[in-house]
Order: sequence, then C-alpha cells, then structure tokens
Amino acid sequence: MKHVVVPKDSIKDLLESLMTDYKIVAPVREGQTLVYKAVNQVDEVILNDEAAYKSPKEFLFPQTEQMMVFSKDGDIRITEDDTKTILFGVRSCDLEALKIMTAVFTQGKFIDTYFEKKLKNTVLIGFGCQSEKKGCFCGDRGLNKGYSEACDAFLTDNGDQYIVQIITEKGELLFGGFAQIDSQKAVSCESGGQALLEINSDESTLFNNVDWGRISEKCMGCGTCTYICPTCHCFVFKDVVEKGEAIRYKCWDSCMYPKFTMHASGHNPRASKKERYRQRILHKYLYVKQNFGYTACTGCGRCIRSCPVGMNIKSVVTEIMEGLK
Amino acid sequence: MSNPYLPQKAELVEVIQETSSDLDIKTYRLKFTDGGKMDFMPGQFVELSIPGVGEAPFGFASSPLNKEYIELSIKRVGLVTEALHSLKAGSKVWIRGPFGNTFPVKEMEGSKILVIAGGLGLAPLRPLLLYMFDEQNRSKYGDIQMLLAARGSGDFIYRREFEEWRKIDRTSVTCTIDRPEEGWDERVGFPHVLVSEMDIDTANTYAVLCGPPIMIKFVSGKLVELGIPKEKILTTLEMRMTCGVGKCGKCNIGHQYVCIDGPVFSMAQLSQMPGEY
Amino acid sequence: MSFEKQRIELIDTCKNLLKEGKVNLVLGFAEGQAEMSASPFFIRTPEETDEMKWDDACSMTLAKYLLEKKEGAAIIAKPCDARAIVMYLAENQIERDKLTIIGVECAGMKGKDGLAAPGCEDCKLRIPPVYDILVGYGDGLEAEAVQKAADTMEAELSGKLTRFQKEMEKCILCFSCRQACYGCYCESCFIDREIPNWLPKELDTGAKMVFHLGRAMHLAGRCVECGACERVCPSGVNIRYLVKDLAEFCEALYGYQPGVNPEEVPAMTTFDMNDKEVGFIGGEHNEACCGS
Repeated sequence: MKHVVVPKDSIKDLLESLMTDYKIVAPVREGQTLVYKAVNQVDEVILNDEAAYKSPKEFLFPQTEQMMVFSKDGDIRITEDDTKTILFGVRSCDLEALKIMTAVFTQGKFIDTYFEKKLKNTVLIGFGCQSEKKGCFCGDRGLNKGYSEACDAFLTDNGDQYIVQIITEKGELLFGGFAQIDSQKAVSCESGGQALLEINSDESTLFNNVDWGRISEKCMGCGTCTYICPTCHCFVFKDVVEKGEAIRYKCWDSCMYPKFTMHASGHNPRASKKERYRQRILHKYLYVKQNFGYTACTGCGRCIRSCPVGMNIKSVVTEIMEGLK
Repeated sequence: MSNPYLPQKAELVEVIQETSSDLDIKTYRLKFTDGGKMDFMPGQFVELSIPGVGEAPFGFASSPLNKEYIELSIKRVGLVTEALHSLKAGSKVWIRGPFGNTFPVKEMEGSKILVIAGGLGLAPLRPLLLYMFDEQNRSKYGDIQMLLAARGSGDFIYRREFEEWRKIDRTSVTCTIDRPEEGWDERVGFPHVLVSEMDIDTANTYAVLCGPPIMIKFVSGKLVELGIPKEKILTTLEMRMTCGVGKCGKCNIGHQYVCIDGPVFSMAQLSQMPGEY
Repeated sequence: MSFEKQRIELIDTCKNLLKEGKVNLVLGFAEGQAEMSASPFFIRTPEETDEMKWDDACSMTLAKYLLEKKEGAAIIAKPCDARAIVMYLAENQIERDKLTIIGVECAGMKGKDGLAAPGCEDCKLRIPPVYDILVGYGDGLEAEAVQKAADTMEAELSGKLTRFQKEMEKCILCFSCRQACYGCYCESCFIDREIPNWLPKELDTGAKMVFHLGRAMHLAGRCVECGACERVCPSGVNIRYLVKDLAEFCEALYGYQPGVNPEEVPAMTTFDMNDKEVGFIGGEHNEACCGS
C-alpha cells in the first residue's frame, strides 16, 4: 500500500490542474445544504466534516439519463457520454454503496453498459468522516467511517495535510507525484468490522411473521428516502418526442410510488404502502444479499435524517429481528 | 458487452385480428428489417418499443423453429398496446430480446402434456405447442391434451388453427366457454371443473397453465388435488418488466426477478415464493 | 408553560377516549428521530398515551392519514389540521361522525432552526375551526408568537420568474411535497399521466416548473397553509410562495379562505354568474388581485 502526503493548500491547485481534462464533482454549498455538484471553480469545494444531504450516485446513475434517440429517418442512435469525471470527497458509506450498485448493474448475464461506461470514466476519491452525524449507523453496518477501499484513492484529514492512500492506478495517476510516507506511520486503513445490523431470516418468515402494516403505518410514501439513498437503483424508461425524434431516457423510479409496479390492466402486485415499504426494506436487507452477497444499506443515515415522519430504518430492522427472536 | 437496452428495428408484415368485441386482441407478425433473426425458446419474451410512446414486455407467440418471422399476440390494454393496435402492416417497431427463462422442454420429453389456457393465456403457450407439434419433436412427447377456455365463443385466439392441431398425432383439443351460447356445441364451464372429468395420467404428465390469475389458482389447486406433482405444474407470470434484464427492480417476487428467473415457474417454486404477484 | 399544560390535558383526554372505547386510535405525536423533531404516533392503548409528545416541534400535519379509512379514530388537530379536515368534509373524503377531533389551541410551531415552521409564520388562526374537544392554553396563559424567518430570497430577487427559476433549481422532483400535501390525493396525479406527457423527462428547470405550477393551480382555493410541502422537502425549496399568491388571489376575489369556515362552500366548487372572471381567459384583468 502506498501512502502520500498532500498539504491542504495543494489540493485546490491539484483540482485546478485537473479541471481541463475532467469534470470535477465535489461537495459544494447550496443554500443551507451541502450537495455533490460539478464544480465551476475549485474555491467552491468544501472539505469539512459535514454530510451531503443526498448521495453522489447521480453521477454514475443519473436521475434522468438519455439512452438513445429514434431519429426521424427511422434509425437509432445510442447516446454516448465519454465525460471523464473525478468524484471527489466521497464518504465510505457512498463508496461502499457504489460497490453494491456496481454489482447490480454489472454482474449477471446482462450488463448495464451506461453505468459500466460511466464507472470506467470516473475516478473515485474517498474522504474519511471524523464524526458520526445524527442518524448515521455505518458502524453497525460494518463500515469504517474513516476509510474504504472501494475507490481509487482515499483522503484522510491530518491537520494541515491529507494523508492519501493510493489504491488503484487511477489513484496513482492523480496522487503519485506527492511525497510518499512510510505506511507504518500512516493513518489506519482498516476495513470495517462485522456488521451488527442485518436481517438474518428467510423470505417466508419475513413476509408472514412481521407486522408490516404497523411498521409502515406512519410512512407517507413520499419516496424521499429512495431519492437520497446511495444504494437505491430502480428505474423506468420514458420516451419524449422532440422535433420529430423520440428520445428514450432512463429515469429514477421509486418503489414507494403506487405506480411503480402497476400493470397496464390496473392490477398492482404491491397495492398498498404496507407492501411497498416491505419491498424497500427487504430489497435492501434481503434480496440484494441473496442475489449479490451485499446488504444494500451502508448506514449513511440520510433516510433517517430526511424522513418527514421520522421513519428509522435502523430501528425498523432492529425491531424486525427482535420480533423474530 | 452489448447494450441490453438497444432494440432492433422490425417491420409488421402482417396484422391478424384474433378477437374483436371488447377484448381486442391482434397477432403481429414481425420481421427484422436487417434480415436478422432472433433465436428463442418457448416461454421467453421480448420488449417491444414504439418510439415516443414506450416499451412493454410481450411473450413470443410463434414457433421457435420458425426462423422467418416472429409473432406476438397483444391485447389492447395500455399505452404501448393502444399505439400498437393503431399500426398497420408495413409499420416499423423496435424489439429487443429474447429475455427470461424457458419451459423445460428437455425435461418434459417422455411425458404426457396437459395444456390449460384461458383467453390470451394461450399466446405464451403457443411456441411450446408448435415446438412439440414439429415433426422432429412430436415423437419425443406423449399425448398432448389441451383444455382451452374463453369467456365466449368469439374470445378464442388462434381458433383457425384448432382443427389442424386436432389432426396432429396423439393430440386433443377441448374448448370451453363460461356460459351457454346458441350454436356452441363444445363444452361449457370453467376449466377447474372440467379438468376433473379429464382422463389424466397424473404420474406421467406435465401440466402447463396460463390465463387469468383466478384460473391459475383454481386449476393448479385442482391438479395438485388430482395428484400431479407441483414440480410438474408450470405457469408463466406477467409482471411490469421494464428492463427485462434484472436491473430495474420492478418485477421481483421476493428475491427472484420474473424477467430473469422467470417468467416460467413451477407451482413448487411459486409455493415457496411470497404471494406478491 | 402552555405546551406542558396542554400535553397533560391531551394525555388525559386521549387516555379516557381509548379507555371508554369511544375511539380505537388516536393520531398524535411522539418523539422524533432528529433533534427538535416529532414523529406521528398511532396510539391504540390508554397506556401508550403517556409517551405522547406535545411541544413546538409538533408541526407535522396529521390530517392526511385520515384518508386511509381510519374509522373510529381521534385526531389531535391544530388549526391547520382542522382546516384540512373541513376541506376533506367539503370534498366528501371523510365522514364527520366517524371521527373525533381533539382541537388544540396553537400559536405556531417551530422548525429545526427555532424559527416559525413553514406555514406558521403568517397564521392568525389560534383555535381550530372544527373540533369535538378543545384543549386550550388555559386562563391567562399565552404562548409567545413564533419568530418569522427572514425571506432572504425575496429581498434578493425582485423579478418573480427569476425567483421561481432559482427555487426550482433546488428541486429534485421527488414529489414528496405532493405526497405530504393534504390536498394532493388524486388517484392519478396529472404529472404521472402519460398522455399528454406533462413532464419532460429531462430534469431541466422547465420540467420542475411544470410540476410546481400544475400543483399550485390544483391547490388554488384549497391550500390550508399547513406548510407540509415545505417541511418535507429534502432540498429546502420554498414551494409555498406560489400557492400563497394563489391563496391571496382567491381571498381577494371571492373573500374565501379554505377550511376556515365549515359552513362555507369552497370557492372552486361553486359558481355564481356575478363571479369576477379575473384570471380566466378573456376575463378582465384586475391589478389589485393579481399583484405584480
């Protein structure tokens, strides 16, 4: 493992020099909130201990992504996006979430080529958290808030400098030129420990022996949690006609919306919020684990912080497991 | 790796009106404009696009051995089907696939086959039937008994082919409608009732069902009662499969995705799955 | 402490209602998940009432839960909840005799910043317009009025279109405002309909404007100013200022405030040949009503 030291005042120069070749996405201030955005000037970048209110997943899995155009002359054009991006200052929880999303989109018989290409063109630069925010529970999910290997290079705040762990060649390309330090003296780069918060049960028990009606009673089905969640990845296709051409988009969809599973006939397999909330919890804590080996919740705490009615996924999961004991 | 969302252009070479009345079903015969073909097996489905309107999943309805064209039988019910129904022969649409699993045609060899279909439910079973009817394949399967149900005499699809099917070696076709009709000389009544009158070699039969959920429920219950093992009762499910490739997260029943783990499931599998479909 | 006095009285009231079997459920509040917050609480046993929370963080509107066929329920209703209930009754969405309304006197709730919660800043209504039981502050007790947050946006941007665009940039089109709004209960929202496709799927500001303008129009003469839309917005969009304009417009034209008077017929469900046709195509333009 290679560690380098980057003086804090060099970071902006580095980003500045990279701006010609890359789109740089980093945490910036927008009103009261912190969000990941494409940076116009490096001075906008904020590297402190705050958490962005939504995850940066949209830069690999955009909220609306143009996929293809059915042209006037009856042909089809695939929409290509070759933008090289640096996703800068990404937290452990969001990096681990991207790892899960990568599994969903790039494993199996079919590969989502749009996601795959964006991932290939993206350099992921992690950034350690110093404190847990209200609602955070990454520790319970077995993550180390201060470090994740699911990126190309990882920054740790060390007073007036950053200690950078270089993980991949992409990371080496960015930080290879800085002064190397002895790994022994470097910050701890351990992965997280055992996840304490898990659902260890089977589908039929979870469907039949859990009172989902009561658990979901407060939920308004607003879907905010699915929009800000770093692992939610469900989508729908939408066609828009513009100037005689039909453009197909891949758009985020939410399992919390009634129309999500509704058939053309009007039949809806998940007709009420009870079924929809169960889907959200079990998709994260059971189905992805069964299909890909990961629990699709990294404890980022965003859904807890943003839920207007105070739903808390951590206490829901805890309650389910307690109830099944 | 190729883009799994990218469709191929196909021409509607023929449009066949199957049923009229309020149940508007048409069969579309399609050829790929580049002359290409799509290899598939019975049970699989495609995603059909009408640019600017959208995309929807449809099961193949033609024989997998037919390399000239594919057929899809489609009821007018939603946006895409509404737009499709207004298209005439010569129109272009876009197709991608094939997706999903298949009927276990190899395992079914040597067994007798009982096919029970209600209304449009016959469409996704037609590739299986035509596959088994093929000269090369017919000898591999035992007797084929078909119980085809529709609300009324005008609601059968592929009715023009029934006579031909009846002529095939060791094959029977029984048609039934919900209520008596003047001039109707075949059976009247629901399939789950009629099935108990049929002579079924329960130890050596694969049953294949497709139709309205309520029909599947009653008929499969009856077949289990008669002694057909749940592993040998097969059906094909319908869900809102947006992507067809296991990514979009809409068609799952528990951890299984209908678009990749299905759409063909046995009653043994379904009884282990949550009833969320 | 008016809140503490109210809380004790609320617990007592709810406990009795449940004990005597007069109601099977009380919609109230419990401690929330973040600092200074409250969460809805579905109380089904007399014992649970002790966990009830009642303070200036209980800003959430509970009325929308009534649409889930909660027969035999009681609801703790602030004036804004009660206005929503009045509207539900007028719009035939709930049945009055299957609902017990525990009205609470309210001088406004606070947001996380300690200033007036959305909707509370201009609310003059202290007593709910409809109730079965009223839990007031008590003699001689007065709650201090909540402090209004400064509207920085207004000062900065005089042009309304610019302001609108500025607000819309923040919106992520998650539709949580719609889900939280008492008045957004259409089976099929215009924005979800595919023909016509109301919403261009590319997330530009225009698409967001279509949604928010459409929603505002549907809430004209119906918004009860509960502020739910803004409280739930994860991106901090000032959603209400559009609807507020329409509310003022409606009041100036028809002298109607939604949900304030249970006897009144909602402005948008009645027609009078003498109605001013301001705002209608071909109608006269009325500066006084339309504002700038």
